[in-house]
Amino acid sequence: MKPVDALSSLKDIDGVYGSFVVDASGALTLRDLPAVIDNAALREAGPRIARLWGAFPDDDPPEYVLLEFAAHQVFIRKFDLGSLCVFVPPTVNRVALKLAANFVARWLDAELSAAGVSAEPSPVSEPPPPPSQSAPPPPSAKKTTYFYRGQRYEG
Amino acid sequence: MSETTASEAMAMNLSGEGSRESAVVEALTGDKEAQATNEEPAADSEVAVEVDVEEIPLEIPRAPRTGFPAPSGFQAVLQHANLHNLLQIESLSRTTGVFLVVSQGRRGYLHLSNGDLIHAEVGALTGEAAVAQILSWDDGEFKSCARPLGATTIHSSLQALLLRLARDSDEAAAMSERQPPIAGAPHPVEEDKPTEPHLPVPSADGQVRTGPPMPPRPSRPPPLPPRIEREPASRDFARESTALSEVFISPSGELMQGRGAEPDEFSARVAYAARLADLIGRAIRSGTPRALELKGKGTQTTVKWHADGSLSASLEQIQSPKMR
Repeated sequence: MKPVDALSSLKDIDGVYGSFVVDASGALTLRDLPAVIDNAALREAGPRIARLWGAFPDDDPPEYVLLEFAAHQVFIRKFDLGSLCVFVPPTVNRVALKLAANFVARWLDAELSAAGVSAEPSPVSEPPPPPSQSAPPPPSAKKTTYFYRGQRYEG
Repeated sequence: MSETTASEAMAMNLSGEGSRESAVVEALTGDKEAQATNEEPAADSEVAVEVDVEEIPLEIPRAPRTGFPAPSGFQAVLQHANLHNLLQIESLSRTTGVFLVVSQGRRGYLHLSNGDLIHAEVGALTGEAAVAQILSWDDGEFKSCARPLGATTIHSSLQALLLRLARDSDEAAAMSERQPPIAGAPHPVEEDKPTEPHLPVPSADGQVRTGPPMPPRPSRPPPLPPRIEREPASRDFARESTALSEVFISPSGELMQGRGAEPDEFSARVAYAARLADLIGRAIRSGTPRALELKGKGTQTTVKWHADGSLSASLEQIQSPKMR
């Protein structure tokens, strides 16, 4: 199974709009979302999602976070190597969603650890480009590889 | 329907994987604009022309004839632009106005108020159905017009609406791919095998023989086993919850009320999580969250946003029910 197929399986749950995955440092790793939510938005949200787990009590391992907005919700499931985020309507069958997210999270743990992804966040975060600078990043700049509908993208 | 789904097409558009031709943006004035819209420049201002004033695109400077002032700012011609993206740009700019969408002789209107899509119309269709139809058009023109804002018929946020329409479009495409073959169309020989045991089966010599008569089918299925009564659905996974701590935090982050165990530490965690949730909502253009639920193995934190920016939160212990 391809990584994107694992994310697509979440759409078996009625109403699921799509999902994406960020690693332990919040970098975008996978996406299966309509393009109305662009990668820039997900990259901006990623580090905050990774830090959300710090809001849990020290003695209580986190299971999930549910963010409720006016018209939709974001269900965030932690796994060893990152976070799985699913866009759902308020009417979603939450029990079924949790189970499906558990399966996908387990699969992602196995696949990403086999691919050598570390559970530790990156020691140094990438600095944002200065606002006045419009030149493209240097060739040595770190690129994130992600998959969308079976296609591999870098950026 | 092409094999590329609507959301894939949008993804390609955003990621630049589609057409590599760059967008062409020109500042248009006077005759240039007339060329771009294939319209003849007005040679004689005395010629009477029937014009629906409400539908005059604002970018056409006909101030002396219609009374509309010539607009300031850039006008753009974008090749290969996606209607979803144009709409989102106007939404992010908090635009108020009406946009005329013309595609292959069809006309639709999208009404935005302070960036919110409040109304749409195509012929007799209005509301979300009209938006769905307009966004299904593949090409055409998207321009501001001087039509007055209509009454609100759309109550979803633009982001949620676009997400839902993209999903519906993908599902419709997937459904059309799963359509059963047309009756009479050639199909593999294996599918000709009878699937019901009572149907006549051709023998080796080609004669059709009818088997022994099957017993009559029961008119009703057998009765189901007795229903198992469950705990009320409001209990999450049949667990019992007990509030450990409750806090009320002002918009400036001060702990206004607190009770239970360690309210100061709990309020700090709540304020931090709420701030992160707020930033996530802004990043994905979903606005301020209404509520946040943090579920751990043994506790559950619930945060609620109030209209004045204050927060209330509770920490509950989750206990598994005792075995009976």
